Amino acid sequence: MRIDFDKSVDSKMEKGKNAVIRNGKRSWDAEFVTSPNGHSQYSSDDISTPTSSQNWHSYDDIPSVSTPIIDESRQSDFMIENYRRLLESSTRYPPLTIQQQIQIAKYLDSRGEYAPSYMIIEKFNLQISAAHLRTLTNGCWLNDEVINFYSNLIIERAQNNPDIYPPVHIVNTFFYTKLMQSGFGHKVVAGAHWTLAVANFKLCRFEYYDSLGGEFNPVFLNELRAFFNYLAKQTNNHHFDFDSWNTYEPKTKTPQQKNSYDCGVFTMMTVEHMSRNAPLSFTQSKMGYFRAKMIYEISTGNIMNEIDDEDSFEEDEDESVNDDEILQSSAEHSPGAEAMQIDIVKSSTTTHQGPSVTIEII
Amino acid sequence: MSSTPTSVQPTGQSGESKKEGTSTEHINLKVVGSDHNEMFFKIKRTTQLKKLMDAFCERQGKAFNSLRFLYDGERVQPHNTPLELEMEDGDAIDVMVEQTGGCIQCC
Repeated sequence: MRIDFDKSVDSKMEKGKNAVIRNGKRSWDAEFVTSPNGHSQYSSDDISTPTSSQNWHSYDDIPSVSTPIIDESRQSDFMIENYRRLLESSTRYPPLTIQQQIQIAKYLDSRGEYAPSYMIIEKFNLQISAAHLRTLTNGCWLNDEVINFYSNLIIERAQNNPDIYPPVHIVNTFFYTKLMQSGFGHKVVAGAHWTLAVANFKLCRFEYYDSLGGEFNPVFLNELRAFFNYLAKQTNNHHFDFDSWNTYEPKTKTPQQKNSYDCGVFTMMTVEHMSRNAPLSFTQSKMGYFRAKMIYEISTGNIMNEIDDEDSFEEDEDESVNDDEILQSSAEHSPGAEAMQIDIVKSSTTTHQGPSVTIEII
Repeated sequence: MSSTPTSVQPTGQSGESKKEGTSTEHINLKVVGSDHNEMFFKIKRTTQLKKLMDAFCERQGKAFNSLRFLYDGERVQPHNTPLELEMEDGDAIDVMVEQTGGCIQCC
């Protein structure tokens, strides 16, 4: 686990700013994600703020675009839907050309020219086969290879364009397992859900994004604090005190999945948006496109650029995340996971091994 | 066990005495499975780790493509050698199981 502490982090840890956030007077969420007119990306004329039947009294009460809103009034539902669409459309995602779409379809066609073991791309010490890429088929669960590869693409993009994208480090998906195993010796149950934890060095807080609205696992959070404290000590960054870091869990304000299979895409898109300081304004309806986009980007080994226009995100960057440590984790304790765990136990009892066995390979 | 391709044998009985003799050419590696089980391997520094991986998979009864071998958090490729990765005697290789996820409640 190599994590470099950016030297510039020191200058970013302004105590005043930190205090403001602790007092809860201003949260990144309110400022960055949910505010329709607090961001340069949206001109205030574009947004028709729903009024009458809505109880959006104060700035902070404005629900996130992705918050499931239940309202008796159909009319307000309609207005909210319009509002959502408006927000979504103002995020300029690159379109996929016909040729690109055809290529994507070919990759996904299991009876086509690409056998499951066909190596689509080899990069970052990872090999993505057609079978791995096909976990991005609509309705499928994403696997670790795809998640880790895409994480590397995001890191690479930030490294290659330091003037555009804030520095970001993303640990691989095994970090969580390893951390939970080695810490207090907790038993890690193989997970069935992708979620995202972020160490935000700019705002000095740990953040947790779950497309099913879950909460930070307190054990995991403690392990994270311990891990970073250890790391700070090892690297002589004694001024860091991760025990004092706040937590930030937007829960249902995080874009939410409406099915049982899209959490991997939600997680990676949350990372992708955060890595360029874009608001998390996407919803379930974009997932088909995101999957296709990810397939194309992974197969080419490059992330497609978002479309530049005069309303780019860059102007407001000072207010947002600048130095993230993004961690992925698969959540533990789930019915599906129990089944998986049982499977593991079963297969290991049938084999003969133990601490005393050494195998010689000559 | 007899079907293992190379001369793979536990050091519990015969190997222990040889330990001192195989100084620099061989290396002892610990492979830590996802279920905390540890397996020890003695391997030439210049031998591709594929042999170790295959032997581990066979012992565990797992398919090779369902496991991920990590050294210092980085993926180990079958063609890597201990020399290449600058492994030292007693180092550990972590084995993780393929991860997949969609949601919590379902399926």
